[in-house]
Amino acid sequence: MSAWKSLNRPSTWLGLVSVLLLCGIAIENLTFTDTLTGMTYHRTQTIWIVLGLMAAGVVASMDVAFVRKLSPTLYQVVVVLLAAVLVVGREINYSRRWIELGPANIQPSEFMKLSIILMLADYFDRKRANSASLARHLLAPVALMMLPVVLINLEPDLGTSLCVALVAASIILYDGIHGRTLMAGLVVVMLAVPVAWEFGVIRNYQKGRVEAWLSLDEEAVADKRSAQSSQAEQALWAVGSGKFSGRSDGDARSSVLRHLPFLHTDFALAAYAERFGLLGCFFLFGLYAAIVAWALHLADHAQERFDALVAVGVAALIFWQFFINAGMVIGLLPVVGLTLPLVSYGGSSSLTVLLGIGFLVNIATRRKSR
Amino acid sequence: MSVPLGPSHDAQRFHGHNRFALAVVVVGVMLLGARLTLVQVVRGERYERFAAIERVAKVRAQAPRGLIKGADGTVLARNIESHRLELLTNRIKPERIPEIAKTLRSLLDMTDAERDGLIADLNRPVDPRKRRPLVVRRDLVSTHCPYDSSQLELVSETNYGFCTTCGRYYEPLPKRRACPFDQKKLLAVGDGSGFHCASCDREFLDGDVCPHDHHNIAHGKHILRCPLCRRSFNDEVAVLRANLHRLPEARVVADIQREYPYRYLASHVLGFMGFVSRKELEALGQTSQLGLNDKVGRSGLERALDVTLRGTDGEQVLVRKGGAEEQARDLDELIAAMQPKPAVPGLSVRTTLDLELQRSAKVAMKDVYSGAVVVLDAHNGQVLVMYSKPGFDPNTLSGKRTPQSRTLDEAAAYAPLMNKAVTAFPPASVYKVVTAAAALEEGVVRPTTTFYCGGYLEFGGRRFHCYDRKGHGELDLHEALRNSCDIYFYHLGDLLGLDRLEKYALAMGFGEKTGIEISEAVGRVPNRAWYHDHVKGGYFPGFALSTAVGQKDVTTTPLQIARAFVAISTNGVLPQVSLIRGFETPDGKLTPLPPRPGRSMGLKDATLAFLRKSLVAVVNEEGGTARSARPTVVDIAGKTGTAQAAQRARPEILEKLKDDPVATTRLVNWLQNDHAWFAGYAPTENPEIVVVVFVEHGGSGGHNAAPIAKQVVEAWFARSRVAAPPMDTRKPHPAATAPDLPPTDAAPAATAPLETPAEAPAEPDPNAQPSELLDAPPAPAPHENVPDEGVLDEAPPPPQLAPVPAPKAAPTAPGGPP
Repeated sequence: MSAWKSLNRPSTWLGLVSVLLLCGIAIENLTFTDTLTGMTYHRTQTIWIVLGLMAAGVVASMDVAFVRKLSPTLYQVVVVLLAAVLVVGREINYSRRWIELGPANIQPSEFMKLSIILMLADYFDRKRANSASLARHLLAPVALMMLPVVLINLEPDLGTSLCVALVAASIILYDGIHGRTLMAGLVVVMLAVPVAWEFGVIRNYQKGRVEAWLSLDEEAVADKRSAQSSQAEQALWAVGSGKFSGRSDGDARSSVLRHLPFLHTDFALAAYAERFGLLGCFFLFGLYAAIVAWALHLADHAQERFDALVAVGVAALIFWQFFINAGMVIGLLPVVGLTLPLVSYGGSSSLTVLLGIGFLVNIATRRKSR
Repeated sequence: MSVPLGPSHDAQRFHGHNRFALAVVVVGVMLLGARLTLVQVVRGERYERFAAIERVAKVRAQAPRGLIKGADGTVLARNIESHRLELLTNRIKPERIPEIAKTLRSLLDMTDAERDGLIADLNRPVDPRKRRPLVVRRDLVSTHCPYDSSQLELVSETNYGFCTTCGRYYEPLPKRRACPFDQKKLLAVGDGSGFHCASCDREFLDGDVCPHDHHNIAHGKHILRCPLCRRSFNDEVAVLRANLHRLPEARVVADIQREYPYRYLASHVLGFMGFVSRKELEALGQTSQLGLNDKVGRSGLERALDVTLRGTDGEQVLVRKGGAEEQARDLDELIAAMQPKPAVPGLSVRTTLDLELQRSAKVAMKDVYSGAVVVLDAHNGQVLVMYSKPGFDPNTLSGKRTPQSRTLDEAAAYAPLMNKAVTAFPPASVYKVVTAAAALEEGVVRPTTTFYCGGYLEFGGRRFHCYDRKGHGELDLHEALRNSCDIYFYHLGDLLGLDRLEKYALAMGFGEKTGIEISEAVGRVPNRAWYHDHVKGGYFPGFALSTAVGQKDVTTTPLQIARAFVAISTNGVLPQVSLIRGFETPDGKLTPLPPRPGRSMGLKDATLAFLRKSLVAVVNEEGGTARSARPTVVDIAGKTGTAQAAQRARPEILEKLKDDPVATTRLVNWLQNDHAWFAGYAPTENPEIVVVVFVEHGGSGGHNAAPIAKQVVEAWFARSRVAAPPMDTRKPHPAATAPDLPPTDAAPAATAPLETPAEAPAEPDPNAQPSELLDAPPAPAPHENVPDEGVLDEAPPPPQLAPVPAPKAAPTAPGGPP
């Protein structure tokens, strides 16, 4: 079956159109937030999206065996970069995440998101034969996962480390573990959270965010009379102001959004939700759901285990970022510094997601027909 | 090497996992959707309201400070709008600092030193969480002249320009190739369309293209000129606002500045403002509405009436810009719910000061270095004039920009901040009025009792000299007062004793506060106990003799003397002296202060009548010491005084003046002189005003103080006879705003010998008529030209017959309004 024939299916078109629509929404939304912040992020983002689409095209047409051979090296390089960023990285907002490379700042933790997918997919594919060994099957992948997670958390960048952990965990779970192991793992995680809370692994500002989230929106807030409010509250009110069908740009411009930091990155959804309301948001959620469903569909129809796990990894990458970011903006989750895939401003982040899409297309060309 | 997923149990397992993953995604999206529905639909209205609340903020509404006005309503202290430029230091990236400094330098009139200071300030490491906005300029030029507070006029419709790219700022190119600001030659820059003034670093441009980077030029029209001092300014506020897009770290904040349009005229009465200190704030505690950026009155009425003037701050609800019409209703409700509280403006104060007379006093004092004039309304003790010299510009002290003056150090040597009208000095012969009253009341002498003056009196093994070493011969009390014979009063001091002198001094209001609203000295009336406590060797009977003539340790303030003279000249009741006529609400309703009763001195009418008769004689009879104060328009009565007060200059002042030998000599010579006093009232029947003149180290009372009093009295009666037009309140008279620098010529009084025949009648010199204004050096010392005594007696009366008071005859100062 030719690649084109494999590709030319409604599911692929649905996924790709959703991706392009998200890219369009990103540029439109940044154009709006730029009028509030006085910057020109929408131009930069356009450039990144074009570059990302081209990179995705390259990845889509690549020989997957080559990528697989490269994946351990890639993983090692990114881990070294993650270690390097702690030393030579540029500090912005009290955290070292960026390495300056000429005009662009790159964020190695973003590339780890992809790298961990390829690494684990490759690992599970190769180790399938010895799947009986617990050490081989669980401990090694968890170690592969924990190394970058700890490094990223040292920057500190809780959001990205959480994302990497969730993506890795999704792949591990998808590949399958014993029920007992799963239960044990859940118990460990549930015990680890209070311990981490108590012994300072969770930083104070993070605790503050959780507390702010717990007290968010309750009746105490209704008596609010002062102008002192957290960014989570401001974002929530902006979203709420959108109501069913959104407000005009002029209204949104005068809203609390103007004073919201990270409006173009982490809180991009707030600006979108205020302008397009519930309807617009459902549309946006639908786009993400379509991409994730397409990825899972590909995973289900992949010919190879590697392909299936990569597709699941990309699905997890997009879903978890989307879920955590959207949950944070609408007050379902505490504030975590994580971008909305494709819609938030950020070169490395968009590039990562688009490369992931490239992998999905690549997989789609080699899917099995059923 | 890939392992295909065969139709094994793996594929089925994976398919199950896939279903599960899809379920997770569906549940997740449904969760988000449910939450979103809650937020946007169920709670949408509420959050919209919260968002609206977020747009309004409750801020302090500062109450406008009350004005201070003259008796006729002329505003002496007012509030003007000012602007300050702040840099939000937490937004400044280090790499932007040179750019910011460069831009500000091109927009504001900044020197290299100021720019470097700014860069240093910005580079100073500060904990990012403790950063505060950095105030670059506190009084940006916009509406008022920074030097004299006149309303600025837009003079030029010419364009200035600034390059939107490099931030350079260009003045319009003058036709003549010379800098209009400092007249220096301009040098061409770039391709020749631009010019540069090397001395003031301004750039000039004719055209629309920046000669440095060939980008377009934006233009504006904001050249302002001060109608009074004729300086040119750029409207810094307009220029900055037009350029704020290039300086996202900067903001222009509106501010209120206290302003004193008459500057030096009544500076001591008005006082000035200063920032409240952290310590004071702590002392005030939480209840105070003051903050660190607030100013409080630091002296004079500003301080005495600080709370009254300040008013009560309110709370104001501010709405952030933007928002659609449909929200306005909601916002109104919101604002109402937030209960804004309007500020209660401070009350304005209507003082009793007669500005025109105050100005006359200032002009009359033009030749003296230091001193004070107090004029009281004889009917009620209201202060018509309180002038102290040298003065200060309260605008400067309240934080305005002023031109640098190298003479300021010298002026500082004469204590410009001290209000000499309420500072205690030895009163000398003026105090003989107290001694005479005591002697008559106690009955130690009768008016006809005579003593012989042979020029000195032996007492306790010491010789007490009369100022007239030749002696006055046989005199009675009336003649002794008229001629100010010291010997007669030594006898009285001996007869009365120190404690009885003290009793009458206290009765006449010395040694106690007069109760005026501003802070004042108490003075000192020594008694035996005081000498016992404060002087080595304790009391010595000779002290009573010195005290009887107002020397040695007795000190009084000019205001105390004026108050006593009001009582003497009228019915023997010490009035409640006051600077305040009443308080005005902002709508202009004046609530007069209720009249407050005075206190009787407890002197017999006969005593008062005798004193009055003698005081008339001092000025009007042959041999009186104040013949020089005899005006032409009205009868005047009074008493002179010449206090021996030679001093050495304080070392710290000499240190400051060490680079200026002329000023040092002037100061040292000045300190060698006696204090000159004159206290009097006019007219002699039914007096209207009481005038006290004190000239510190001014020479003799008859020569140097009495003529000043005469000028003030003449100014008063000239006006009360010719109904003078009201003062032009819009433009301060140049004389009123002139700085109080010491006379720069070689000192009229400095050359006077110590033992001058001072109390001899003296004729005013024609030079005394002010022919030049204060800015110019004063006329040569008047009494250097005074001829011999023999000529004096036959000299014609003073030539000033014109009813126009002296200051009005003064020509306009250079630079004054046409």
